[in-house]
Amino acid sequence: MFLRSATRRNSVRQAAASDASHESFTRLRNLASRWRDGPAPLVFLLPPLLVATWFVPDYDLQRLAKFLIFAILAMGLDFLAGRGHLVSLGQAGFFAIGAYSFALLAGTCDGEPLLSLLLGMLVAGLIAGGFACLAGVPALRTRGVYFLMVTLALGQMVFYALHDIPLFGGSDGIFVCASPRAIEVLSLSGSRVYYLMTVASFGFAVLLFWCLRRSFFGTLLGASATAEVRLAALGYAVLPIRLAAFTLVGAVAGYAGALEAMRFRFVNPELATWHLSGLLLVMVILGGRNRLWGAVLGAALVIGLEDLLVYWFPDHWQIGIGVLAVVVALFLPNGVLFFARRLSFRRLGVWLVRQKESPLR
Amino acid sequence: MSFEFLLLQVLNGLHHGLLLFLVAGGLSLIFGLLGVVNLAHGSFYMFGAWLAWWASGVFGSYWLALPVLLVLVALGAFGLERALFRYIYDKPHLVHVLLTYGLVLLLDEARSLLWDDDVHGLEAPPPFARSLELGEDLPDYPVWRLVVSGFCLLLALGLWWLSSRTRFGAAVRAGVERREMAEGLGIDTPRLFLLVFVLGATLAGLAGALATPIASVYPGLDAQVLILSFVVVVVGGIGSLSGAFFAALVIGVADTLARDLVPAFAGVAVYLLMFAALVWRPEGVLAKRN
Amino acid sequence: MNYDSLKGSVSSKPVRQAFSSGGVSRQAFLSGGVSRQAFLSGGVSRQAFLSGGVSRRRILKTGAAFAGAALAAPYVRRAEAARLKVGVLLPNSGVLAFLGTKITQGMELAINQSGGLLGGREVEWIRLDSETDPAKAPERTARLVRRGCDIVVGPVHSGVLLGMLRVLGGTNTTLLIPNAGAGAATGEHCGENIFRTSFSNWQAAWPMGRFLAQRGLRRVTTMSWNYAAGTESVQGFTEGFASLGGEISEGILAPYPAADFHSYMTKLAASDAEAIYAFFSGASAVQFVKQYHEAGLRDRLPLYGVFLTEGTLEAQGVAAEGLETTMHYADDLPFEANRAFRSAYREAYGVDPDVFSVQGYDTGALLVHAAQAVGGDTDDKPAFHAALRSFRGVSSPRGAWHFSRAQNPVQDFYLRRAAGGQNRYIETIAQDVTDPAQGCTLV
Repeated sequence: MFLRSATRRNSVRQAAASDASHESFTRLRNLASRWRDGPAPLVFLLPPLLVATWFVPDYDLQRLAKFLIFAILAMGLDFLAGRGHLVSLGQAGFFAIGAYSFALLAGTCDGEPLLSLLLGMLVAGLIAGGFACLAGVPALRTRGVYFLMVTLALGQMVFYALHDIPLFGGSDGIFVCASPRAIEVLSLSGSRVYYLMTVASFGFAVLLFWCLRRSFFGTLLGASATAEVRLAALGYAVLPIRLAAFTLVGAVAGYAGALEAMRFRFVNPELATWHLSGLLLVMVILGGRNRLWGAVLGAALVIGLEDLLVYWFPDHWQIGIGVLAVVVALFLPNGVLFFARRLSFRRLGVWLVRQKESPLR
Repeated sequence: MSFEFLLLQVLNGLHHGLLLFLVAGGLSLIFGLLGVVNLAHGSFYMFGAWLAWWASGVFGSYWLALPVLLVLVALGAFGLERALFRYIYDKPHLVHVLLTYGLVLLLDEARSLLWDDDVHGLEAPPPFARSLELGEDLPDYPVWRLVVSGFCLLLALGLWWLSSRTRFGAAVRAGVERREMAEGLGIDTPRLFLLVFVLGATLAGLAGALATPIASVYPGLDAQVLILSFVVVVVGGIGSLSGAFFAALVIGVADTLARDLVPAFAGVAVYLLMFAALVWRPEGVLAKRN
Repeated sequence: MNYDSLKGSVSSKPVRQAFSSGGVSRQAFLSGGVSRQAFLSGGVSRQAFLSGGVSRRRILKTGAAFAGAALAAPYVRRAEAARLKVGVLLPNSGVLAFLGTKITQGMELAINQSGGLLGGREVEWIRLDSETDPAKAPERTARLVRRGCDIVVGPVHSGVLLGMLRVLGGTNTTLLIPNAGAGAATGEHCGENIFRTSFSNWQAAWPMGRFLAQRGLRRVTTMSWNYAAGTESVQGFTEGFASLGGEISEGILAPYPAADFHSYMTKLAASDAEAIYAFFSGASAVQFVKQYHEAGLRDRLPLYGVFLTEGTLEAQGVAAEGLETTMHYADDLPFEANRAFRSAYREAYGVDPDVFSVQGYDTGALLVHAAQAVGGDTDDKPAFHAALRSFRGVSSPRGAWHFSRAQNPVQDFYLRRAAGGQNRYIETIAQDVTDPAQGCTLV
């Protein structure tokens, strides 16, 4: 569908470039060429994550796995909300659908599971993606604020469905029995293999979203947000583009859900709570919208902060998260990465020199 | 299922819908005019309810408490608009969600710090603290529910008058429709925004206060109301008071009847209805066609 | 890092050295046996933080450690295992938070009454907020274990309990359940290390079923929210009621967490039953009872339940007056232990205790008893668990009780009537009720 002539592609790029207000297309391209928005940081991040498999106790691997799962979720949401301006408050719903699909298909504790572990994870992603596609058709007919509210309601619907339909185990949730097999040659227990799977999934997710951002599809999605009219004039239907992105991100969320289901081998309707969707948005903005690594950074910061606050102030720890959200919204709406870019050492040097040379001094 | 049974359930649904309208109407206007996604709107409802309980205890009378709590909610909304909301009007929706999500958490913690996390009940105020007897196989109907329904209807009428018969209403409608044009015509939009925000928040607080003798107060009131209000706004169309009104009634009745007709799907019924409405008319069922 | 060891007289030097030497030996790393000898944490203990025992630099350091890789905090050798660490996972926010408060108060009272020590050891409480979110329960529980708690107390909510069981089931960490009634905890998921001091949902409802049948009622409609605790309770009631020839006319399940029950009153009024059995607790109980009263159904269709009036009488007001419920506690139980408990509780916290406080109190008393029996050595788990099992709640405010083989209380149930803001004792309707513990391997 996206294989059109080169000239038309160029027109799309121009359209995307000229109408984008605060994040112009050219700047995006320049940025993408830099290592910040490329997969290069993986080179520094992956080795320690991999080495940790052998040297870090199970408990901390589990916490690292949580961070990685949320990073995957947040990257997906960032592609949707940052690039496509499709602010979804229902990602937790797809997350939960993936977790439950996996629990029922590959992780059931009574009798033989229907699918093997890996196949179950992929199918969980597919089911979540399929659901996103189905729900996306009516939901994506709406724009902006409508879309946000519709996705919020979508997440709630998933919550009620999981909670009320007996097959899903009600408010108690389901115990999952699947867990990765130990690899004795490398002296790895099942939980360590699980951790390795999470790291690998994270790596793939980074590469996936990096490619998507660079791809023509990514450009189209960006243009569908900032230059919809021009895109339509060039003969592109906007709905399929958005639907493809929504489905894909839903599938990724579902896959992350399958990973989450294996973390403690327990799933519960609360996985679909809208607070989780809200927290994901906090991660995306805190890190930096429409930046490959912004969502990852945001996930690390939010999860780390929550961990600290829960422990220090068990009674009113949510104040901390609330203050963070308000402060970021008011003073750092472009995220920490944007802030950090502005505070590079070179700029600091230039600024200092200028201060010295200032004639007013 | 007898006719009276059905009639009573519809009445219950209408009551539910009318209260919902007070919350969703303000929310819809705030969306429409200010363009702000306000997740914290449910928190005003929650504060209205808790203040009603608290102030009734302090002043010894619900009727004395009512004006006091309305002023308090309005002042709170005024402060929030001046201190926070006005800085984010022209920011992307993502930022709105972030700010108001933070406020949801902060306001809930404020509630917990100001009072406690317990459950508290309030009796219906004196002249209405009784029930009407309806008949053999029917439950008595609490008079307070009728009073609340009637009051909400009056308020809805008042809001209709405000929006269609006054300069203020015309300015609001102009702002919803074409904001730049309205500014060009000399309408002071920052002041308008402030007024609409405070009005919306106060209506939500009032809804909470009216519901307290029926529903009692407890932590977590905000989320329940908020999400149903979103559904109402989506179905009714953003910025449309009449849309919100009819959508609220439909949602209220549907929610109530679904519990009798399809008890297994009572939780999801409202959301399925919303999706059906979206497929049919994505701009809101009752929104004006462009 | 264990900042608690930095407090008071303990020098911070060893910790610094541990910092620079990279902490734990490689052997400890690889063996994974870090939970005792040394352990890692991302945070400062709350007590240490609040008492000012931690300098700003240390906090910054902690923050830096966190920012570095959120999780790559340094490993530090634990100084001395003098204090007994007890983890508490109760709701501090949300609808159930007041139950968390009551249970904590009860537990605190019991331990303070015996000098604040457990088997001669000081207690370090590590409290985390369960948020009543089952999805977060496993990680919070794992965190308590990681912090060195080998006794965990919690939770209130059945779903959270299942999440905790996922982490603690089959381990050596002792779990004391002060409220959540999920049958599975002392049924199919029971274990040597899992003790419940409260009730199982089935157990609390079953005596009521038998009692109503004995009263001569033949048709009863049941009602609850559509969630695990509700359906289990209705199940228990149905079994008890049916065992003496009763019949359930209709089982109504309202969608969780719907707040307005008035539309159900229409349905109940049209019911052909002779009475209603309802399972609601906390906020939902307040609404249900008030709306039942307003609908004028109290005179036409008697309302019975468990928990309906527990801890909520003030909020329910006249609507609850005269309601009959069955529970394993009544406010004016004629035991000396109960009278002493109530006056001590009122003195300590300025409020009246309810069944949740009693459950907390018994949990505390159980800890005191078992820790004393093993002389404070809670590391010898078989001995410690045997000591817990041997507990006889002779001085419990609810009357004597003991553990069944599935480690759920075997206790008496009382009929109470709400009057003047109290759940007043009327009679004992069932003695030594034991949960059937279906699927439990300990039985």
